Amino acid sequence: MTPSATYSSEVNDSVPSSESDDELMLRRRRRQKHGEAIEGLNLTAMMDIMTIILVFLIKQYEASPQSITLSDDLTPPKTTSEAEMVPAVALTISKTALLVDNKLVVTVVPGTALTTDDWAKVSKALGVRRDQIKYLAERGGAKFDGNVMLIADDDTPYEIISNALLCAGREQYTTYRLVLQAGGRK
Amino acid sequence: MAGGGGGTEELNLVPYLDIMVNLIMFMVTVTAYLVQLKEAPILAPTYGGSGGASGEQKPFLTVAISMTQIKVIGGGAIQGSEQSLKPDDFRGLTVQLRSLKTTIPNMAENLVVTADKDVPYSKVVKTMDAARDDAKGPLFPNITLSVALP
Repeated sequence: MTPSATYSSEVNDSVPSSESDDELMLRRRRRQKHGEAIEGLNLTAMMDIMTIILVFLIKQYEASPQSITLSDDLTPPKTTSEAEMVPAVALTISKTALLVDNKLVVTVVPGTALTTDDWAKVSKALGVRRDQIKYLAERGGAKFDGNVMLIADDDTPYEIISNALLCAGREQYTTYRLVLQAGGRK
Repeated sequence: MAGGGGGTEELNLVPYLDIMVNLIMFMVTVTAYLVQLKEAPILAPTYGGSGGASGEQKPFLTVAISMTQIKVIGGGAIQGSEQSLKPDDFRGLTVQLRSLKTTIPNMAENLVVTADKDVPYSKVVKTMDAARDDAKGPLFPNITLSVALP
């Protein structure tokens, strides 16, 4: 919408249609100088500002390589590391589930240990994801670089972390990245 | 708004503006609650000794975490040395590692971190943070997490 469209509707009844937009603007200003009340607030400029802010916020939200929703089940530990995250295949370990790239692989019942079958499922899911990436790479996609990022809850026992890394290693993932919250203190 | 006239009607922007303002408030709130994430790269464990044919191996350290203590264990040329710390004494661990790195020449940059199976992940991360650097500079930037084979 253009400003002229707004003005033209306001003055449509009193001004001949042959007048240009500039003349309409001048007439309006002159009228306001004489102390007449403003008939309507022009919201077009405000709409422009709002739209720009919204687009900026959406782009900023998109810019983060991986966003995780914190919950009681998944709160990564805080770290002092300053290394920025690099997107990779995500292996998520929460209190209630194990996920590979946000797809549920194993449901964990709190208080019970993970079985060999559970770990076999994790390995299989990581292998399937690796094959998908390789398949896409053959058709022009990004190359499989062996990166895996581990997003785990801070109460996760080391045995589970260790087994997860072992599964990843067996499926040709060679670079491990621990995803942690910023703001840790020494 | 004209009822049936042929005049140009003005688009009512107020509802649209309401939606936009609400969306922006939502986005700002969500962004404020978004967690800022960082990463700590770790090295994959390697098999076999790092020493060459000469048999000379660089001295290296292993930090073993249990529920009751943190142990700094020497390896390679300083095999046999072992020091214990309280389980939550991460500041002490940093001091200990700095002292060892200063006194022992030719120390490997790699640090092996291992833990008991029940040790929480947060404690492992705190240990890694304590070992990575201190106020004087980097300590052991390359950390290998030891993985126990079942």
